[in-house]
Amino acid sequence: MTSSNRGLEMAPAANNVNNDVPEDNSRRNFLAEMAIIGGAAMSISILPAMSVANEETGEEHKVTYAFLVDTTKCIGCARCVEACVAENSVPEGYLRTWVERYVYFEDGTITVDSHPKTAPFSFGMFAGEHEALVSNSFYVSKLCNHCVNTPCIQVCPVNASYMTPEGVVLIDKEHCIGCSYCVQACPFNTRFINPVTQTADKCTWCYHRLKKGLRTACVTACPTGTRIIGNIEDPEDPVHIAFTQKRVDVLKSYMGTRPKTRYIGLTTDVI
Amino acid sequence: MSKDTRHLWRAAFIGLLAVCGFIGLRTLMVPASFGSTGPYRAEAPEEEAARKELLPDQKECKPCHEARYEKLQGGAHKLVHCKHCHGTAREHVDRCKELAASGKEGKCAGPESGVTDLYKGINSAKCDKCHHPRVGPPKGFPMIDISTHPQEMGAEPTDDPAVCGECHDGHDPTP
Repeated sequence: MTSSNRGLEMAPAANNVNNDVPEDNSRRNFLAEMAIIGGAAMSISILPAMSVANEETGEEHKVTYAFLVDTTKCIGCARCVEACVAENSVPEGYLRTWVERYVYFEDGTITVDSHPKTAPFSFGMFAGEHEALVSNSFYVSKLCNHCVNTPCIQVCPVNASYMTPEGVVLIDKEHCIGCSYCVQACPFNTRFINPVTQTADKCTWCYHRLKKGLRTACVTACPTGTRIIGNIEDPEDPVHIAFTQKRVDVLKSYMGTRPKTRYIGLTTDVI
Repeated sequence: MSKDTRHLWRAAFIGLLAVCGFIGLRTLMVPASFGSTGPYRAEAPEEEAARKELLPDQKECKPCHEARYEKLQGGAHKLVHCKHCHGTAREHVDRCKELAASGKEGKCAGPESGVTDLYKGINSAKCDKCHHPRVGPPKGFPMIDISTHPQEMGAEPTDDPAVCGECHDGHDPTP
């Protein structure tokens, strides 16, 4: 259970205490004040403060970045992984993004595999002589979900994990002490301790590119349009349109983290 | 002053020291800009955003390579980034921009330019990166076994890495 879920469960528990002990005014006031302060802090961290103009329409919009993965288009070439490793100097043997392959066999069994963690990141044939028994197969790209309710930020003891006004979850490497608490807290396994810097490391949605008006390295390198990044505040944006008009899904919705990375074409077996 | 009162004063003094120590240490350790934009050091996002980007956007290739760009847009390789066959080309793009800005004569490609991240020519290994046979891609995606495909199409068996180029143009690969 993540700390975010624990946090959600604690709110009603606090109310129960108030109802059971009505005479405890100072305690009730204290809890109410804490609820207000907590709520204000949360809304500040979620609300976007930045705004940019849409390239085509010229309208000003707030910016909250969101990521869409259309798994029905993915061919599993892993060029996104190659581009990410090059762009972000990811140490060998570690990945900020990766691709998984879900293979369904006729007897109802499912097998999941991924590409090697070192270049050239190519998927093998996989099934070999069992290829005739494969009934369905597809690829799913994985990366940081940049959740709205982030377990990783909540557990950081030195506030080195934070969310920018545009909703991108980043790590302040000057202040990270490398305790790897966030690595354990992330339900999506996207964080690792970088062996070079000895700090936590993860996908930044190429924040340095987004701020220059470029798309992320993986989106730029994707040859099929599987990966798209956009601004959900802009009604003309393809990601906003997909989020509001298509059947998009998130990974591990039961964790309550509200990911901003969403998927088209998932099955319930994808975790 | 009784013995008990002295104890209390001592405890109070230690408590005061602890509070002062905590406030002092906190002031030293928490960055000055912490909290001004949110619960983090205000310079941190700017430092991250200042990092130099590597992969040029496809549009950066367009002004100089317009014909190739247009051809690419019309074919099945529409979304395939130039870098997959021609290298990252960051040095190349930077050098071209630098020359254009300064108005100096010079080359931004080739051995004398000093650019090391640019490649030309067709190479079957590059085609194989996406088109090698495997389980998983959606129906209709062409998967080619390079070891048998040329023979199947009636060509001589060869180890020439440019073999794909005999029938296919990478910018518009449909035969």
